[in-house]
Amino acid sequence: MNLKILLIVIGLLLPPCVAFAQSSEPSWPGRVKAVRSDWNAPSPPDIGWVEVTLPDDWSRRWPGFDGVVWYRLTWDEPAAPADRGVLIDYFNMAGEIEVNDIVLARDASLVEPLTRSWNTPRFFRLSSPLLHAGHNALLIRVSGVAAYQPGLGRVSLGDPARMHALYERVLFQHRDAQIIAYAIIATLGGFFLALWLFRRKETAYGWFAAMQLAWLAVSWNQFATSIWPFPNTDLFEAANTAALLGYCLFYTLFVLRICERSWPRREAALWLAAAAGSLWLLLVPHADIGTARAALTTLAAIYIFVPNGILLYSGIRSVRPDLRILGIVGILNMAAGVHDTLVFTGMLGGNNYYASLSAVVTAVGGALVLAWSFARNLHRIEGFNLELQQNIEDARTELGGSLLRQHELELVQARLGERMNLAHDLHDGLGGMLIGNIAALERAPESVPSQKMLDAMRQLRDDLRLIIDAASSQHYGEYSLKELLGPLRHRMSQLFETHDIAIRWRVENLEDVLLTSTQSMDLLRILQEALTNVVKHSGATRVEVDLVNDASGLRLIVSDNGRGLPDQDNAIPGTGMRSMRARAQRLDAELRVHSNDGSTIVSLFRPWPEADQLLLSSV
Amino acid sequence: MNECFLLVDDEPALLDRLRRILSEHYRDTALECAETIAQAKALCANERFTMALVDLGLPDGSGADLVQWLRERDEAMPILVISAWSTEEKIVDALRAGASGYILKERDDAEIAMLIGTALKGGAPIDPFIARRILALSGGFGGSLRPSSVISAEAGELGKAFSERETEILELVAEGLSNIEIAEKINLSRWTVATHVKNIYAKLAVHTRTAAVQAARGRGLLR
Repeated sequence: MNLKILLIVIGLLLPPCVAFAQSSEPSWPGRVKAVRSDWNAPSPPDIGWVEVTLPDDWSRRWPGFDGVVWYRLTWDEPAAPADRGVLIDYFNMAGEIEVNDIVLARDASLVEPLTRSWNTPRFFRLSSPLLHAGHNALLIRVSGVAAYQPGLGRVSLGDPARMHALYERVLFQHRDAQIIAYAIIATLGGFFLALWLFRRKETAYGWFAAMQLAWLAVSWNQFATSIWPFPNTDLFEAANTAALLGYCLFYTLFVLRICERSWPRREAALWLAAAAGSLWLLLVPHADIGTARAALTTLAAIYIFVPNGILLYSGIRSVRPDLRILGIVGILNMAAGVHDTLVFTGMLGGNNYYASLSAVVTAVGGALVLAWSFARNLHRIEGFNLELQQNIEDARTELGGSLLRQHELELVQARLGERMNLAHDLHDGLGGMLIGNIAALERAPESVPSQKMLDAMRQLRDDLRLIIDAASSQHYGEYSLKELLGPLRHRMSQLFETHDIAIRWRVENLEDVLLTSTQSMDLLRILQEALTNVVKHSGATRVEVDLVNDASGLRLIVSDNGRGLPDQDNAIPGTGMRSMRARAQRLDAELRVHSNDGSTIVSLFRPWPEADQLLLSSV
Repeated sequence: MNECFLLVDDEPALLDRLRRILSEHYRDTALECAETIAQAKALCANERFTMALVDLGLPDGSGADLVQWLRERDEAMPILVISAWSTEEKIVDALRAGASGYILKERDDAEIAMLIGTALKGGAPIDPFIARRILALSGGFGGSLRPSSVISAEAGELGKAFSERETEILELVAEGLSNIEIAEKINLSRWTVATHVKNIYAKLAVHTRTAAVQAARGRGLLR
C-alpha cells in the first residue's frame, strides 16, 4: 500500500522535475541558420543555408549525414554594445565557436577521432570590443555523426553574470553531478567487488559490483572528451551501448539473487541476448549503426522495467525490509526510465537524462540492502553465538544434573548391590550351614552331643564374623584381598595363640587382587575352614599359610604338622570338606588335600583368566 | 592378692560367662558386678578396682561415658570394654573416652581370658578394624580406594600426635599381623609393640580430651 502511495507521489513530482531540468531560458533572440559542408571545409559554404530552431538534431533534417554543419546565430546590438554572456548548452560532437569571425574556442579534434563535446556546456563572455553595433553573428561549426543525434543544443544570450550563473547550473547538472555519481558508483562497486572477491558465495554482491562497473562504462560517455581507448566514434558508441546491455543483464541477475531466485534458462537467454546485441553493434554497417543503437537502447530502456518490476513485485509481496527498499528503488528507476525514454526519443526536449541519477539511487539502494543483509547476518551469527552459549550452558547444567542423578542412582545401586552381596553371603554361608545343621539334628533328634552343637554354632559364628568383616571392609572402601584378609588373619592368629600353635603367614602380592565379593568370601571361607580344621582336628603345633599371587594365578597353601587326616572319614566326614570343594568349584579353582602321617597340606590354585590378567596388569 | 575386678554388664548370661572365665583364670581375684552405670559408680565409691570390664550398651547410658568417668578417677587402671559383633566406631569412641582395650563377646573363652591377661600385664589388644579406624582418624592410612570422606577434619592434628613407629605398627596391625609378627618384622620385643599400642590408645584419649577442653574453652565454658 505504501508503495502505491509512493508511486503516486513520484508521478506527481516527475513533471516539475522534468520542467526544472529543461532550463526555462528563452531560445536564441535572433535568427539561426544552418548549412552542411564536408569534414574539412575551412569555412561555411555560401549556399544551402536553412533556418533552424534550437536545439537542433540535424539527422532529422539530413538523415544519414555525417560531417560538418555550420550554425550561424545572428542578433542585433544597440549602438554602444555592453558585455554579453553566451551560454551554449552543448554541441554534438566536436566543434569550433567564432563570434564575428573571431575564434572563441575550438575542440582538439574536429575530424575522426572526434572530440566528444556532446555533454560540455560552454560559457563565453563577449566583451564589448568584440561586438558591433547592429548586426552580430555567432558561428558554430559542429562535426557530427548522424547516428548519434548530431546538432546544436540551446544557446542563450544575455547578461554575462546571469549567463554565467546559468552556465554553472548546467555544468553542474551535466558534468559535476555526473562525476559525483560516478565516484559514488565506483566506490560502492569497488567495495562490493572486494567483498565478493573474498566471499564468492554471496553472488548478489558479485552481480551488484558487475552492475556498477557496467554502469561506470555506460556513464563514462557523460564526461569522456575523447574516444580513448577506442579508434573511432562508432566503436566507442558500440562499447557504450554494449555496457548498457551488460548493465541490464547484471541488474537483472542482482535483482534475482537478492530476491533469492535463480532462473537458469531465462538467465541464459538474457546472456545470449546481450551478447547478440553487442555483436550486432560490432558487425552492423555504419549506415545502420544509428538504428541499431537506437533499437538496442530503446530495448534496454524498455527491458529495464523487467528487473525493476521484479523488485516492485517482491517489495510488495515480501515482508523483508530490504526488498521493500529495493521496491521503492524499482519505482524510481521506472519513473526515470520513462523520462529518459521520452528524452531519447525526442518526445521530451533537452538532453537531461535521469538514468545516471537513477543509477546512483539504485547503487545506493542496493548497497544499503546488501549492507543491511550483511549486518543482519552478523546479528544472526552473534545471536547464534549467544544462543549457542546458552545452549552449552543449559546442556552443561543438564549434564551436571543428570550426572548427579546418575551418581545418586549408582550409589543407590551400589548399596543395593552390597545388600544383595550380603544377602548372598548370608544365604551361601550361614544359610547352608543352618540347613545342614537342621537336617543333621532332624536325623538324630535325641542324641546330639553338645560338643557337636557347639561346633556347629561356632561355625555359624565364624561365618557370620567373616561376612561382617567383609561388609565392614567394603564400607571403608577396602576391596583388595590384602585388606579383606587382615581381620581373618588377625582372628586366626589370636585363635592359634590361645591354642599354642605357631602360625606363620606368607602373604604376597595381594594388594592388587580384586575379586568379586562372593569370590573373596569363598576364598576366605576356605582358608578359615582349613585353619579351623587344623585347630580342631590336627593336633598340630605348627601351621604355615601361604597366600601368594603371581602372574599365573592365586595360590593358597595351608600345611600343618599334625596327625594328618584319618583314612576313613569317621567323625564328620566332611560337611567342612564338602563346602570347601563346592566353594573351590565356584571359584574355578583347584582344591587339593594331601595328607600323610605327620602333615596335611590343603592347597588351592586359582589361575587367572586372561581378562583378569589384563585387569591385573592395568591396575 | 587383694585384687578386685569391676564387671559392668546388664546381660545375665554374659555376666555368668565372664564370671566363669575370670574365676577359672584368676582364682584369687574378687569380682564386683554392676548392671547399670549408677550401680557401678556406687561400687567405685567404696572400692578401688584392679581392672574394669564395661559393656558398651547399658540400660542407663553409654558404656563410653562410664569409661570416661572411670578414667578420670584413675589414670592407670586397665579398662576393657565389652562389645558384641563389629561396632568398631563404638569401640573407637570408648578408646577415645579412655578405655585401654576391648573384648568381643563372640570370641571363645580362652581368647577372652588371654585378652584380659594381656590387659592386666599392661598390654593393649588391637585388631585390624580398630587400627584402620584410628589410621583413618589420623589421616595416615591411605589406600587408593579409600573414600576421602572417611578421613575426618581432625585427622591432621591427630596424625601429628602419632610417631612414625606408631603409624607403622597401626598399618601392620591393619594388615592382620599379630603383635609377635609385628615385633619380628620391626625388630622389637612384643611387649614394646604392646606398649606402642597402649600409647596409641592413650594419645587417642588425650587428644580427645584436649580437643574437648579446647572446644569447651571456645564455647566459654572453661577458663
